[in-house]
Order: sequence, then structure tokens, then C-alpha cells
Amino acid sequence: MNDFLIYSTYFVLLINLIVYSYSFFRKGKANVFFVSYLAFCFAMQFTMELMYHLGMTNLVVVNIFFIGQMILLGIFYNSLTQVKSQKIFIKISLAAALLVLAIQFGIDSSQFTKFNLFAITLTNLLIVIFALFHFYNMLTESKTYYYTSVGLVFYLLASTVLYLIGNLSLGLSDNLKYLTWQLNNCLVVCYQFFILYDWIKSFSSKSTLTK
Amino acid sequence: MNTHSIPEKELVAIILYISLFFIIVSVVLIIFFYFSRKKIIQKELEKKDLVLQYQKEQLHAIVHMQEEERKRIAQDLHDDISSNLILSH
Repeated sequence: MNDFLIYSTYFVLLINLIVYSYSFFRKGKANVFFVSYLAFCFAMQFTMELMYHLGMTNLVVVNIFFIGQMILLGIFYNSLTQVKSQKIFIKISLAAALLVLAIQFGIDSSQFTKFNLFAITLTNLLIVIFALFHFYNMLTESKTYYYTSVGLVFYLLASTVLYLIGNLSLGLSDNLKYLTWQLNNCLVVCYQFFILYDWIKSFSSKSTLTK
Repeated sequence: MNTHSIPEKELVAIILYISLFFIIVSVVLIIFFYFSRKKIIQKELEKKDLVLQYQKEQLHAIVHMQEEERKRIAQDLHDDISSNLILSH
């Protein structure tokens, strides 16, 4: 059951990556930053899986994943918005967040090997704010990446808490330890399905490849 | 047994971060709803303005047309009368 969940996540993520790359390379429609975000997610998942099988701690990758996710989604929403003040806000907040995180990791490098609470809160909050900007802009304009943003906000609100209690769950007994991660896995699958649904709604036409 | 090994400091930090996260998210959401309400109301006002403007223009056009018509009829009457006068002369 557990393995099935994990591998179905990888599978849906791979499908998303393929269909979005197809839309991007063949038709030039999909956003380049979003495609790179999906590619980044896939690479990170693959690395984590590999490190798990090699018996290494993959929490370093988790930290890198959070920072990379924030940067790529920040640039993605920056490219979507047309409002100048929002663009400036996104750029400044991204730069400030990166600076603060760099200082934090510089002072205490041991944060890399556990769930860095500050980094998780900061990166996920910023992404939620950027997504809300996008929702605000979509009120009067056409809907682009609507379902992706819905899925993203849903996933981030729920999973941030799960990541924040990550350090706590490390000390729990084995059968309870994985409960939170199973829940997180379900959330990721939901999120990936949202992305897939978005592709079906906005990019797939009748003649393109079907899922 | 293992749960006791988690330092209290860590526990407090986790709780603090979670509450901080939710506080900020709720504040952001409230701001978001406030601004989106404002935007929607503004959009609706603009729409109503547009309708009013359209009606005004229509009214103006009707009045203008009537005026033209009146002028034309007056001209016609005038021409008619003057030609009749010439004839009777």
C-alpha cells in the first residue's frame, strides 16, 4: 500500500512532466518555468529515492527542494502576473528570503540535516502569497493555471504542518512514524492530479496525445 | 519511550512555527478577500457606468435626431411657403 502510493506519485509526476514538456516543446504553450519546476520536482524525488536506497539521509535534498520550489514557483508566478508592483514584490521577497536563508544556513549548517522549520515556513508562506496574487489577478482576467494554483494552495497549507512536525515524527515508533508521510503522500498525489487536470483543461486539444 | 528524547525546546519551536504559519496565512487570506471584494465591486461599478454611459449616448442621439428632423421639417415648410408665395405673386 505504501509503496503503491509512493510509486503512483512518481508515475503521475512523470506523466505531468511529459505532457507539459510536450505542450512546451511542440506547441510553445506551457510556461517554461512551470515545466522546469516539474522537472526539478522529478529530479528531487528521484534523488531522494536513490539516497534512500543507498541508505543515506536525504533530508539535505528536502531542504534543497523547498528552496528550489520557492525560487521556481516565484519566477513562475512572476512571469504570469502583469502588475508591476506584484512583480517587484515577488522579486524583492524572493531575494530577501534567499538572503535570510543563506545567513541562517551559514550560521548553523546543521540545519541542512534536519527539517529546517524556518525554511519550511518561509518558503511555503511565500508560495501561498504568490499563488494568492495570481488568484487576485484571475478575478477579472482569464483563468490560467487555475487548477494548479488551487492544488498548490491546498497542498501547501496541509503539507507544511506535516513537514513542520517532521522532526517530531522522527522520534516516534516505526508504525506511527510513517503515518504522517502517508498522509503527505496522498496530498502530493492529489496535487499532481490537479496539475494533470489543469493540463487536460487548458492545454490538451482533441488531436493531442491523450493520457 | 522515544518521545521523551525530543527536547522541549524543539517541541515549543514546532508549535510556534505552526501557529505562526497559520496566523500569517489567515491574515494574508483576510487581506486577499478584502482586496478581491474591492476589485469585484469596482468592476461592477465600471459595468454600471458603462451602461449609464451607453444610455446617455442613446438619449443624446435620439434628441439629436429629433432636432435634425424638426429642422428639416421647418426648412421644408419654409421652402413650401416661399414657393407658394412666389406662385401667388
